[in-house]
Amino acid sequence: MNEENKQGGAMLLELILAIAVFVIGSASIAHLYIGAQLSSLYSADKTQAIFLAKEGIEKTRTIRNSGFEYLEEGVTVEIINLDGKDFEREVAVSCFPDFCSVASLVEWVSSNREEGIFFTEHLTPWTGSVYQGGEDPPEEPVE
Amino acid sequence: MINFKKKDKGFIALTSVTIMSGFFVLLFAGMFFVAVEEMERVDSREGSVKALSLANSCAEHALEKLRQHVAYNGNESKDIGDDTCQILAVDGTEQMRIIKTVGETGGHTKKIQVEIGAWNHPLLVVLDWREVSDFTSFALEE
Repeated sequence: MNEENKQGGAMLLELILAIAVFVIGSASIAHLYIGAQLSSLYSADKTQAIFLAKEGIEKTRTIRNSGFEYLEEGVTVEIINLDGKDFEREVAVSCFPDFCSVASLVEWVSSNREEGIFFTEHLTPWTGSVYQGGEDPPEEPVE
Repeated sequence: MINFKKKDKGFIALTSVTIMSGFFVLLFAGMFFVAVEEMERVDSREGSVKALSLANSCAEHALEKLRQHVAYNGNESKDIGDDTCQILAVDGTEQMRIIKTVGETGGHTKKIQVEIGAWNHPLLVVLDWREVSDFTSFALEE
């Protein structure tokens, strides 16, 4: 009888330990899973934001390529929705005598936290032409 | 025989749960570290884009200087926001110039090489504008 009781007690202890291991294991798994999901979401959003911020600068460069005089000082704010997520892009152009500074800021909310990235680039009125390649070389210089 | 199985029931449950938990924890830890690594890669991409913007800005300044003065020879730094970029010595001949710029921020370095071909001053003709891992010497190309 005593031996049986001892065995029963040991089995119960082992079961309790098994449940404890299961609970701790499950909690760790849940924690790791949620962490991985949040990190993946953050990475995807930030990648998108990097492209949007760069696009803001490229848009301004395209305007400059049409003529430096077309660049206007000021701030343009756009809300861009990508896959149900809102990104706010703010492109600020400030001009000086021989260059314009373009600052592109993209903000978004990731896991209830405000995130943002910011790039700055200078554009100058060098207004050259870009040789696109092909067989014909650019024109010879005129002395 | 039946008694033996009964005795080991708890042990089998404990061992199974431990092995299963270990397996899943390892699996999800792997997933977690892959996600963290991806996050670091994206942060690094941000640094690279910033460095490239700096190098591009310096190339813009160098082109403008070259447009204003044919004899512009580079060798200067420019402040872009909180960072700085460098315009290295301008290589080349009267017919061709090579502008080399470097943008550096947060441990990221980007190099831009702009090749300007024959120009009808002040109109510059850009033959090539690219990011390079290392600058090529104009003398070697000749």
